[in-house]
Amino acid sequence: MGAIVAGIDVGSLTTKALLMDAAEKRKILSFRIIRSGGAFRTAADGAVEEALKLAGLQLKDIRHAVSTGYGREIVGFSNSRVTEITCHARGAKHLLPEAHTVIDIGGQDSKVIRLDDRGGVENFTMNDKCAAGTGRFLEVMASALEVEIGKLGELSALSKQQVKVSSMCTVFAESEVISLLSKECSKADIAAAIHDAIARRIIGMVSQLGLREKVVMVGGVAKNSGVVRSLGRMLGTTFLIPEEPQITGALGAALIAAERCQ
Amino acid sequence: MEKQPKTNRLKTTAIMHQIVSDHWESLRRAKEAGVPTVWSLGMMSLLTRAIGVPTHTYATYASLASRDAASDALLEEAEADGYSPEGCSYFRLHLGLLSAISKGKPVRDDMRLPMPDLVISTRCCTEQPHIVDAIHRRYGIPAACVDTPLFCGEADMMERVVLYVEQGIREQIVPAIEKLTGKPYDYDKLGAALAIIKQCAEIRNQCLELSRNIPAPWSFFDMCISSGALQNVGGTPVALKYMEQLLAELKERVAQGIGIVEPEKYRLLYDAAFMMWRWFGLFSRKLVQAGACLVTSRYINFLWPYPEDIDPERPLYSYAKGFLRGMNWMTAEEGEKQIADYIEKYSIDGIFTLNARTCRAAGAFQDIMKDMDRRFGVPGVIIDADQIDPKFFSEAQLDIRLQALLETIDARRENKVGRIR
Repeated sequence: MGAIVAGIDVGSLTTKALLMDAAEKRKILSFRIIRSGGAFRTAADGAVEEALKLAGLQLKDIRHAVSTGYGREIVGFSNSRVTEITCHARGAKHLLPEAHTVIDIGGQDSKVIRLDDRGGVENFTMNDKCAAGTGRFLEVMASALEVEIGKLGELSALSKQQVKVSSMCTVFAESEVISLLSKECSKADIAAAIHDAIARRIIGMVSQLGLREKVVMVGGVAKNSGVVRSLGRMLGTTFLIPEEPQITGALGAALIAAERCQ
Repeated sequence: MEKQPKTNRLKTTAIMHQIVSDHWESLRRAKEAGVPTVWSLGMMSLLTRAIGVPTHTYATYASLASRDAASDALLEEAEADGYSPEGCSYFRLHLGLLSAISKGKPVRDDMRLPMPDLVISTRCCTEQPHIVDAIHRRYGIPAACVDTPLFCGEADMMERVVLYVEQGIREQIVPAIEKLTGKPYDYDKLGAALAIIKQCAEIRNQCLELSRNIPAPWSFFDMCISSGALQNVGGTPVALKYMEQLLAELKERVAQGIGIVEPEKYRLLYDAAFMMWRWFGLFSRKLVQAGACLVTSRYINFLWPYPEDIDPERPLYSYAKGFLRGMNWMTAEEGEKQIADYIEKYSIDGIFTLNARTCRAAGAFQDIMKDMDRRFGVPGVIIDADQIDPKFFSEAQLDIRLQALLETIDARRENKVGRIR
């Protein structure tokens, strides 16, 4: 076994820690995803501790750690900090070498990243400060519909009639959802409309960079089949989705850590 | 071990703080002595300052008031008075100040201004004349606003537009000033002030040229501070002395190879119609920590970009042309040409632009960034924020976008793609 390295992605909603053997094959030893819970330092410590436990390792075994995500600056034991844009690019290219575009819909923001042939960031764009088109948007809408967020995707597959949520603003969109409920629209139709609203937002960002296939979707929202379906339909493409899309940033961070410890 | 980037502060810019403080204090003292004061909401301040009337300028007041976040209370005051929180924050700041003064509410000493006796303005955006009108209606303050059309791709219209604006100033602004002072407008004094402005703008342009040196001897932040010499005290001997001292210090730096940011790892262009005044220090520190220097900006060339246009014998004509050739009135085509020129001339690695949330006028140039990447391989990033309103600012967003821009530049350097310096 080579040196042990760690990638920690401290996101607004979830924190992901991944341990890797920095030897040539870059083998993933373990990973953990936990809720950030508004306490980034504790979440980072907790995620790493659990990942170490899974791999049967100790903190002192980690040679180099790279932190990323919104809470990257407060991870006490990280040796360097890199933005999630670079980390997602690196992680996505490692998992799916044919990728040229990465769509990351995270809890707090969304990004579209165009990759160069080596997994570097050729260009990127992000959503503005508003939460529309993010995981937070989905959380608020799921709450308005009184549906578990994890079930929103499969619910939208049952949609029979097209309705529209047109607002870009989370607060206005929530009131649109409530208004649609009061008109007795089905929850499935509304869920599909919510996914379309997110997709429209992301398409604007993809268009800024230009779609270059293959396209990888990462981040927690890539687990939502409804968003994937809406976005794929509107963009006219099929996405590559890693087995665990949420750890792509942490994986990228670990890959960078592996390079830096050599 | 890599050297930690640091700032080598200029000695001259430290003087500007006192010059600007004295300027604002002169407005307060004038009122106490019964001398009328004027507020200028866009480019008109020299018209009254040149004839000895203490005059405010609105962008520099915004920079003053947003220091230490003190402007927040005035923005809230305007909102409490019924103005939309999404309206221009510069205007809300001034409406908040007027509201606070008129209601006798406490305003911090260094931000307090007397009620003006006249408001003069250009029509820089669609909102501006309505705000001037609101000030007149609500507080009974005499106001005059001159129409200043945008060019919209017709650069050959310049001469006609300059003549139109010159006529507007003569027929709308000048009579309002004459009514205030009770005497005919003194065009000779304006000509004399313009002669000084011309010298200052020539020196300013020489200073800007020095940023072609690597490392750059000064940054956009120093340029913003120094713009007080063309705004707050523009057209005065104090301004000229300041500019001469600044040029001497910059030349000395260039001779010694001293940069404002050392080591200077990234040379960035700031292209926006505003500075993020409320986060001026924070933004500057973040850039320095990363070894990044904003080496130039079209914003800093806002006033009197072409000193050769200034003819003190034709003061109103020169005055109109002076700002109509600036960034706000430039066509997109001219803007793109100028940015392209800056990229080459100043060895730019990346572009930083601001999407000012409450500005209705400043969003039209953002598409140019994409063209610059396509043509020159220079990446850019847009910050969604505001000039002064904290409701539209997120430090985390600034951090990630700045860092991601620098990482993109690094990746391109490593892969030898795009523009490599």
